[in-house]
Amino acid sequence: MPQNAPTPDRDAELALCERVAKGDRAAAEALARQVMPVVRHAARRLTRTASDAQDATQVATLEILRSAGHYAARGSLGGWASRIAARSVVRWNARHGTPTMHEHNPDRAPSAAPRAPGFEALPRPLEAYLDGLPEPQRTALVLRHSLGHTIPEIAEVTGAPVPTVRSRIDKAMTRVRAAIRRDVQLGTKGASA
Amino acid sequence: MTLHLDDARWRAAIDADLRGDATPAQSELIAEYQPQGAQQRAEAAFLAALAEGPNELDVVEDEPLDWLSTALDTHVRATSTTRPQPAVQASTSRSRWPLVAAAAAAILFTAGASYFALQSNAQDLRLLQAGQVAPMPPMDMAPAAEAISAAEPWQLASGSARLTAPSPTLPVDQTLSVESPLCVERPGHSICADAGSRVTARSSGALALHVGTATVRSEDAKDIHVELDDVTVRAASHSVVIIDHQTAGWSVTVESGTATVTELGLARRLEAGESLQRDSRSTDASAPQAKRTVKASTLLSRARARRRDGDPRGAMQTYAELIRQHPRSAAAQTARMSLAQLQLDKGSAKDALRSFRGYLKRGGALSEDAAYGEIRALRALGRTSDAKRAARAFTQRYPGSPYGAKLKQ
Repeated sequence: MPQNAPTPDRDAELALCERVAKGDRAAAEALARQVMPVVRHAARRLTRTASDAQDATQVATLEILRSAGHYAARGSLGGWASRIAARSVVRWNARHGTPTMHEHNPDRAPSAAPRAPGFEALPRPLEAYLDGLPEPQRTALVLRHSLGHTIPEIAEVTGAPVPTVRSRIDKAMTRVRAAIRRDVQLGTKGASA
Repeated sequence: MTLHLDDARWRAAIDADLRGDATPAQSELIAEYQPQGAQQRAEAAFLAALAEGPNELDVVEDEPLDWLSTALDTHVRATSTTRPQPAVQASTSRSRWPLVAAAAAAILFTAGASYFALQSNAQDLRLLQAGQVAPMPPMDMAPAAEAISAAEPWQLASGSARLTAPSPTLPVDQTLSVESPLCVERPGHSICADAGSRVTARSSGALALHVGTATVRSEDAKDIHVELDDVTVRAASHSVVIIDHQTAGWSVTVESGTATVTELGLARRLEAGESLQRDSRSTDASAPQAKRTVKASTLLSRARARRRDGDPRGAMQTYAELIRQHPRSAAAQTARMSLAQLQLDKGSAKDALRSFRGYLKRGGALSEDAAYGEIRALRALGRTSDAKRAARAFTQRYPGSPYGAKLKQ
């Protein structure tokens, strides 16, 4: 197992987490604000509406504060927080359910930047394709490619066997490719961002 | 539509990478290659957009977040066990609701119990309608506030336990072995544990009974929470409850008053004279399979909790149990690595070697780590030539591995 030596930054992050674990409110706010971007990112990717993303962000943030005492600076603070957030959001989804893939979804979580440079070749916003996936496939694909989880980690988070996780990712990509092929053939261009 | 040969290879490489088994050549192709076909370019854009990290929408900096204030207050209260705390303000705003639920869950239950409570919520509702189980405590601010006010330290009243430092109270989050019948108390509450029991006082005010027998008495209006791994026992006010927790299973007997046992998210209320028990090693063929085995994820959580509690031996036993019960599960693969690491740390190099090889036989994302662990175990066993052979194979297979430098030492 890689045991990276803590860097000066990691030392500071470790100290911050220790203060949080002892109940230091200022440290907790500093940590919450520091990890908020990755928590929000995970929540937006794994939920289907802005309000769900907001709710899941709150739950995940509290989970990170509670877990601060376990941070050991073996990896980046952001990576550690992202993993806790992903796990927390997946659980939140499991409890609250999510709209089906065909459900109209006016309260869609805002896109990451659908027309950002380099993404012009994508006919529609990213979320349009993700919303077309059944929840288990979407979760597996997002955890794998967006949040950088390994296959065993996804298996653990979702409670599915490794072969099932692989199958879900394969099926997700097959669906996405079919949707993209249709859009390319129809000449769909940047539906609303 | 024309599919370029290299586009097809690129797509195959993408699939392999997503499945976690891309070869170095495929990884290189993904990094270097620009797809030519319109559809493949769109696919590449999709993957690039998906892989994009947090952006300006995710940044908060000085943005005022009213819910964050509530989260911070909740966190500070949950981590404090000494100062008197004001009751948490209830709120009906939508943005605070999930936080409220999470706060209550965080304080009332262990992470594992909360997880299963979340997972089986729908089943709870069905059972409630059928009147089969007692309702779970509502996840609003009231029980949270009650639990916080109950989180006073447990005073040592009689008996003895192994403490790292002299203390009149039960240290929080430190697992203790009870040497002679030990009684702890706080206003209105007392718990007596038999010799041989192992207990941990939680910051929430709950007591974890890892193994042993305890008699729980509540003589005031507040409940007492006792955790048995993934089971929570809530002794209601003015109740006497006897709890026995052994490796083979557990039992809860209510002598007077009432108690609520929450197991895997399902709450069951027991009246005076009633008891509930579970035998985790039952061999009764008529019992459903689900009753005879514990879920892999539960065992994994249990093992991690024991590790966190400074109980590596208990963690090793639980990892081994997980592998025995669910040998083909993903959790068992994770457990093989964790078990191997602990075995190596504890000087059981032979067992560690077996565990690392068990992982390698099945393969997985940690194969590189397992291969390196195998070399360490061989070195620890003094099998120098085998270790050198394994190191050569490792270097060939993982030329850019961060372990390469360590192998040269």
